[in-house]
Amino acid sequence: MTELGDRLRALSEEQRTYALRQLPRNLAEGGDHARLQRLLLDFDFLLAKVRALGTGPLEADLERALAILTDQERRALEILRHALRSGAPTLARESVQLASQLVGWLNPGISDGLDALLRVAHAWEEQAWLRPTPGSLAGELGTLVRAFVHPGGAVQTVALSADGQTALLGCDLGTISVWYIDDPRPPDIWHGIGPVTAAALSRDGTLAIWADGSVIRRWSARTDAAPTVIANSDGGFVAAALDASITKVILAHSTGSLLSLDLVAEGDDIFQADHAPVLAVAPDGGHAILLSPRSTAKPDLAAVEGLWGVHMAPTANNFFSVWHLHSGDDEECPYGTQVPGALLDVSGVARIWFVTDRGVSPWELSNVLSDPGTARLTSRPTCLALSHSAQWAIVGMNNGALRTACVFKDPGLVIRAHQGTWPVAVAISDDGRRAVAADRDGKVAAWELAEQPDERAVAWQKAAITGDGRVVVGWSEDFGLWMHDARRPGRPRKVEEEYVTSIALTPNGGRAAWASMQGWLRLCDLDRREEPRTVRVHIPLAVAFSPNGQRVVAGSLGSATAATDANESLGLVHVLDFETGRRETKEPLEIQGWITALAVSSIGVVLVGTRDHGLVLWEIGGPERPTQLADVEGWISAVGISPDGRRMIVGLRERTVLVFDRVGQVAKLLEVHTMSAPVVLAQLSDDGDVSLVGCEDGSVQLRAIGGGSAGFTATGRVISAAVDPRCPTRLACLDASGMLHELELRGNLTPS
Amino acid sequence: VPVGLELALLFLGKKVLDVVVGSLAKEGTDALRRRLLGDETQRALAAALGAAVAKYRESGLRLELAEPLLGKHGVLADDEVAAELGQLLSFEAEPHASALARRWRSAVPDAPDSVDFDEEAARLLQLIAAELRRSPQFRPVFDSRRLDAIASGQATSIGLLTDIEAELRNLSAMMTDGIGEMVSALGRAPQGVREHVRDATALLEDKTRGFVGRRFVFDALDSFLARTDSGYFFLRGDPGIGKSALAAQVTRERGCVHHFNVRAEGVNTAAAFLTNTCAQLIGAYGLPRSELPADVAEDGGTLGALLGEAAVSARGRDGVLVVVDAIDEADLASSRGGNPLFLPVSLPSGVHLLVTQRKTPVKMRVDGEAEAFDIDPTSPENRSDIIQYLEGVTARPEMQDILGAASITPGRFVKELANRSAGNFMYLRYVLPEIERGRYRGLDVSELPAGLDNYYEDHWRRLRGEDEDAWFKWRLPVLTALAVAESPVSAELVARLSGIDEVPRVRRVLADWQQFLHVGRQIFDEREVRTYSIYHASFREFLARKEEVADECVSLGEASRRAASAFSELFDD
Repeated sequence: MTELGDRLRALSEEQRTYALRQLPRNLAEGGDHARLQRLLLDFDFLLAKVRALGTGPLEADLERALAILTDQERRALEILRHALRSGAPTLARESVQLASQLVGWLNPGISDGLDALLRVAHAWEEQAWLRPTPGSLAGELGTLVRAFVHPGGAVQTVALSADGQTALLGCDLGTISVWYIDDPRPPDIWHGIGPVTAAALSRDGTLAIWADGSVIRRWSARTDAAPTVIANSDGGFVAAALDASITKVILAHSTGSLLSLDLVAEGDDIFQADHAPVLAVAPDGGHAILLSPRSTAKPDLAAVEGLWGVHMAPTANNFFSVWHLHSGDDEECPYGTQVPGALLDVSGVARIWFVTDRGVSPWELSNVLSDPGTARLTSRPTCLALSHSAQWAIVGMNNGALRTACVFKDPGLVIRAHQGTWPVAVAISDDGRRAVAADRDGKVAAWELAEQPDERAVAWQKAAITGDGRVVVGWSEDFGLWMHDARRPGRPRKVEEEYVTSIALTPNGGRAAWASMQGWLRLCDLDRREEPRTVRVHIPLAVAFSPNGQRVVAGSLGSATAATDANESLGLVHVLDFETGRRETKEPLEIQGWITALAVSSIGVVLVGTRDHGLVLWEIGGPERPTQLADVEGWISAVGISPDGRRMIVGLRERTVLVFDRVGQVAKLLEVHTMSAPVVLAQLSDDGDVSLVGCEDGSVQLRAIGGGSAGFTATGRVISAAVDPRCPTRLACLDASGMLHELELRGNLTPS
Repeated sequence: VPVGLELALLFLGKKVLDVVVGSLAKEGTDALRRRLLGDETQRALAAALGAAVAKYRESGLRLELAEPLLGKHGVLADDEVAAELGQLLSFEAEPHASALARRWRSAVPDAPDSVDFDEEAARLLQLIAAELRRSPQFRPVFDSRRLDAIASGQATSIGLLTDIEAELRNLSAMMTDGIGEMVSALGRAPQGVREHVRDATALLEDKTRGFVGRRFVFDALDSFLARTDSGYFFLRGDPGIGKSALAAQVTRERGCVHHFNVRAEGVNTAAAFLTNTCAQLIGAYGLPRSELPADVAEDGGTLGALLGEAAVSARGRDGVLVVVDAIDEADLASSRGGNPLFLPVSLPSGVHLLVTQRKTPVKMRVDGEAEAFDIDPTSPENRSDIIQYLEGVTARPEMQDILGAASITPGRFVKELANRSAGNFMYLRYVLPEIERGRYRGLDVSELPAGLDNYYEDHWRRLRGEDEDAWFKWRLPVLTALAVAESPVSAELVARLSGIDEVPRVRRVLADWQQFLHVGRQIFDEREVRTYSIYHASFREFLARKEEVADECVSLGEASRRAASAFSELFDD
């Protein structure tokens, strides 16, 4: 508790409420900058305000302060604002995570004020929490190359030359300008007759086309003449693109028509898409994404070569269709909400369907970009763009972050700069190094984007880690299976190419096992550094170790038999000796349902979770038949069992965690908890008294059974997490963006 | 002559007092019996009961639930219930809420499952007790917990009971308007949604009381709705022209999803708008959500999705109309450079937004249909509405008495006031009560200030002229403290913010400014306190303009410094 915090608590409730709500404003309007900064950098004030009013009013305080402070005074508050915005979704749910979010998002050494704030947050102990390593959420930030204010109003469009040197900006009051980023010469500025809603710049930056109001204009750097009108229309364009040869421009209209202008022959074609708003035009000018929310009929656009359409019908099952208009192929995709140039999943997962000249279908591309490698985004995109080559995508986020992805390589969208304000238009260069972003107030920033940190280069899709975070065995679609053992010299090694369905690691990191859809299970002794042993198993889906690492259980897909319904999945559970790879039971255990999770105790009690057939308990070699445990409705996505087989934990995709005690063959429900997202991981400590749960939204939670809990939220889906067996207050968490978080439990989980 | 609800309230008061008198022990003196059964006491009790029911009804989506309480055969008139109400005054035992709950439950058989009538009954009894304690007649009774301490000679004004009756009548009328259906639907929404709805019943009741005319605005709105598939209808006009009343009337008649920004009450952030609006959309259109997403207030993403879902749900009906009042009062910092309140740039098919604002432009991006409709204060349509409103006021018996005494014909009065108002309803809202209170002696209408600004100026000059010393020492500091507080504050806190040590003095100054203030109540440290805030933004702007005049010595910056220095103890420098 800071002194200011103590004094704040001593106020009456009305005075305290007023101080939290209005004092920053009074200090700002009264011109007391020093106290204003002290107040906004005081951890107890921040915590009290977030608890009482949420992060929004606190951000508004920071905005007000930033508007009046000098550049020198601003730096610390700008970084704090970024940290709060980044952590806002987490804090909206759990204000108690303020300390962990500040420590995770703030790097030390930036300013004395921030360092003091960080020290207090770091030492906070009012409640139990999981403390990350300082700055572990933040990563590297880009470098601001140039900042300027666009004349004439709010910027609506940004286009960039392929080399990132020339930027074209258009605003809502009709002003358009060309800026030369690394060149000190003044920009070229013209004034149109209406809002500039669509603009395109050629690869070399010498030809610009835009629509201001109802007029379409062209400007060439080569002639140095004023812009000329090349067409008149009824306005309402939303996107524009020039082809690589600069002979054709396509302008997309909000009502669904596409205007194709031949710049050489001065002819034009118009295609009408049945009132389907156009969301984006690909950089080559040959493709567009259309959105048709009303009509169920496909628009008649077959004449346009290579055009993709996206038809979104608001149906009960929330799906829409994508089809290639030329071939007539179509495909069903998940339904998302609309942002310019993309469709986004409402849950905040970036699912972006780019239409490019490679002819890759949006659905295929979405797999590359988002499923399941892309980090769950902690904020929502506000704008996006592709580079001329369509190799780089950039997305502006509502927390001010600029995320990029190399479209055909990176599985995730990585933060590479922080704009600070809400970006409304962005552009990126062909090499993915330079970006320009503009906000609503006309502030424009050119960024030299940060190099991707190494640890973010691989976005794991499946992984297992040790509790000290030093051993990672992980699989990513692009890079196959990699093993990294920080205890030994040498770089991570790649050991597998094929699709891996599940990975398990012993608590000490000495042994690993992984399974492939190709029909094998590999057992690898990391301590001995031997080649993995291969065991044939038909379509293994899940794999787990016994706590001592001697036994491996694997769940696989079986074939339907006379005893089972032909329409139902049959699951098989195999028990193997790690050393020999031999099966311990003559026949695998047959159970109904698709096996999704497995755990085995030291004494050979196996817990099997299925997608839709509940929970099965089986004692290996025991006299009893496997038991279907208490009705668990839903998709079991994770299970854990204590080494003595006494206590069990079950995680569901339906955001629920259940804890049972086993009494003979009966399970007695102890606790039920609702989580913030589908559960992906559930484990119990050696004594069974503490649970570790990880979720799709990046949250990890350590909870004493019957007691308190401590949480932390990473930037991406939890891929793996484990408690350090040598120090139960330390744990490691790997998220989908490749970030490894080393966490320390602060405070006591047991309620006083 | 009491009629309708007023009569029912008096009947109820009489019934409760009969119970109380019946329970008096032998030592109860005849004088006390007479006092209890006198008109004065009966009227005070009726007013307290009415005020409590009105307060209950205006909060927490209880518009429908409170419907069967009053009336001659209402829940409160039940013998058993009246007996429990009598306990509030006789102090023989704590009133038992269960009898009220039982009778109430049977009167609302189709109440939502989530309603706990025992809790509701306890809440209502608390409100009745609070209102009784507030009345001059019964305050001594509660202070001493002795019935014979009841004050005499404290007549409840006829106007008070009439006002309460009018408020209750207006609330009842809302049940048959579109808003009644909507409040009913919201009351049945899941708890995780319902708890985020900001109940605007009291605001709607206040803003629409005496509403007249505006046909020309409704016509323009309806034409826009018919002509467009979706879009923004911006209703613009000067401060006090009646934009909020119109937004409230549209909301009331059509049962729209609505959000009223009130800067003086701190209800002007994007977060407040998004949580309130999203919760209403889910509740009103029966969208399949049991709670609001945690990140609902992060940006407009959830709102956009819910508008789309609501439009699908409303297909085949009138579409979705959302009313957003006073966008110019929105805290722009809270929307971080996005549209004010994160209003969507584009609207889904079938969705329209009615947004009210000043004539000064609000920086906002809209892709799609948008129309701005300006209310011109000098237009014949606006003048006609002003006249219609004034004619309604002059028809009231109290006003006719005043006009008669001043020998002014209603026609002349209406014409003069219409001229003086310069087409501004807020002007009439200030001036007419003053006339009714006798502020303008002899009612020389030619002496009335012309226009809202002149009205403010007139009041300003008068208070300053009364006592220049008091003006600079107390009146101005109190007013500027309220201006920079930007939220409702108690007299104690005003004293602290303005640097005036004497709270009673501050209370007297607040009374001087009362007609420009909104008086509310809040609970702090488990104690209900009266709070004050500036009623209308136009007065705050008048004050800001005074900063430009050197002679006025108004400095809001200085007031902010003074307010901040009230918290110097937080800092150790």
